Amino acid sequence: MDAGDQSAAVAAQPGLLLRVARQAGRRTNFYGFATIAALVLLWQVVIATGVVDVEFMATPTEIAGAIGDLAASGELATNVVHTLSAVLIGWAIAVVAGVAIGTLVGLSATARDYSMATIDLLRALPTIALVPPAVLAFGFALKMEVAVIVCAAVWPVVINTAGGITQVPRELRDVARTFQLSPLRTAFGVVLPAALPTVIVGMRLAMSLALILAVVAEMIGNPAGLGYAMVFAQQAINPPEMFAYVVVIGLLGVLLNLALGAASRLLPPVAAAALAERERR
Amino acid sequence: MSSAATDVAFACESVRKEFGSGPESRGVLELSLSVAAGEFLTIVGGSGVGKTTFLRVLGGLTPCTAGSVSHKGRPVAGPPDGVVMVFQDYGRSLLPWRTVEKNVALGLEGGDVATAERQRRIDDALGRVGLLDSRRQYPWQLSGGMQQRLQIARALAVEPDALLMDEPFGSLDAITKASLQDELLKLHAASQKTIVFVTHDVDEAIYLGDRVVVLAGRPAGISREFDVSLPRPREQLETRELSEFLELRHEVHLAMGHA
Repeated sequence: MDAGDQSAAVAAQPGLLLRVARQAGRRTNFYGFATIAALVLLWQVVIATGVVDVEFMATPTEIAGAIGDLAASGELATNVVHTLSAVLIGWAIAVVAGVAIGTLVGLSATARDYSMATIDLLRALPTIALVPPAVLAFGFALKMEVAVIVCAAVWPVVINTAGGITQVPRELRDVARTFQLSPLRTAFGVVLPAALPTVIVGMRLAMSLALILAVVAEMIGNPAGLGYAMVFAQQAINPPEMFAYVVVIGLLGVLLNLALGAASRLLPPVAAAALAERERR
Repeated sequence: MSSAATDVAFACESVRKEFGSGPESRGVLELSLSVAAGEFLTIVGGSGVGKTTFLRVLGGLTPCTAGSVSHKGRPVAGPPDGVVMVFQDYGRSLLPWRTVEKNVALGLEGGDVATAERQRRIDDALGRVGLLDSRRQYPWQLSGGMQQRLQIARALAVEPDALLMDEPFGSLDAITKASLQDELLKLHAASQKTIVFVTHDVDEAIYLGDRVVVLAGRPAGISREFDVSLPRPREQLETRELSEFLELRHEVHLAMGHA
């Protein structure tokens, strides 16, 4: 890319990003938040008044208190950091490997013919069943969690990358051909950007799988992180603390998804696809 | 006509195109045709007759099964230098993540055009189609007519000898279509580029072309050819009211099998 190209690209960016930011502001759904608040209130009332008979339960205020205590002791931060690093390392490896494999499978019919049966077989495996063998292979350690996450999270990235590439309109490939673009420029300048919105879908699916598997691997494998802390609180019959971890894991999932969604809209093809879709309505 | 104008741009000899292979194969195209340099050739035919396939063969996007195709004397194997295709579906042919200006730049990224020259060509191409004010917009913010203008600008920026146009105005409303037809005629008059223009609109074919070729049959062949000697510059109202225009219109419709 030369200087002229870059300055033109920079000049064009703010418009797109500003529009995305405005759309995000307009999209905040206050009614949706009101429903959540009402449900939490209902929970508080039902448990505090003892209308429903359950063995061990905690009210939202008790859970909030437990979160405060865990945060103050530093225990929460340690566990969040552990689980979050497993999720992010595993997810990053899954994305890099998945995009590479998916691109190959998407671009080459030969690669597709040879690999699709294997991919369909591997991704159909119930991934939780990977934890016991991973413990034997990697021991009770972070790398066991990472291995399990990668084995599960790589498939949605592979499938969506390959699918996104094969669904790029024939016209766009023809455009690249009629202008005699090189294969590399066609792949990185036309085909992959056109497939990017679909690739991002795969990356988001991979992120939620990564969190689920990190927690599961900690519950039944590696004694560390949020998953283990939650099971520990359960076995200590400490419902507020157990629910505190449930809530934290849930919030972590929501935040990771939001962050990834926001980050992906910084990419021009994703931003353009989202805005074009909205303008069409 | 000067000798330069009678040079051959495209020559197709006994071109045959089949889809499928072995006993399953069926011929879709069988014709010989030559296009003079600077000629505005229009090809009409019913839908599905093989017009687009023929244009793709000329543009090197689809190989022919038998026969030979050459551009300026060189056999066509893949998209030839100096030949650019303009597609019917502008919505799927523009890059939605690039601004108008960057879409035009796409065609210049393959070659070794210097930066200053590149910018000059982009400005020139956008100026020709009247899109200079929209250079920072995105294709999906433009009307259909403007998007098709953008696709034409992108083709012009590589300064091709020949444009292959596949029903480029097929999905536009009548008014937009008429103004784009006139812009294309002006462009042709100013540059004398070779244009092969496929359409199913008989009036459009006669209005634009120096020569109209009617494709029909299966496999599709040239059922008739008409030289169009209507005066240029052509006018949307006057030209279409000339008796010669109406006679040609009658003949072309008959050749297409419209009773």
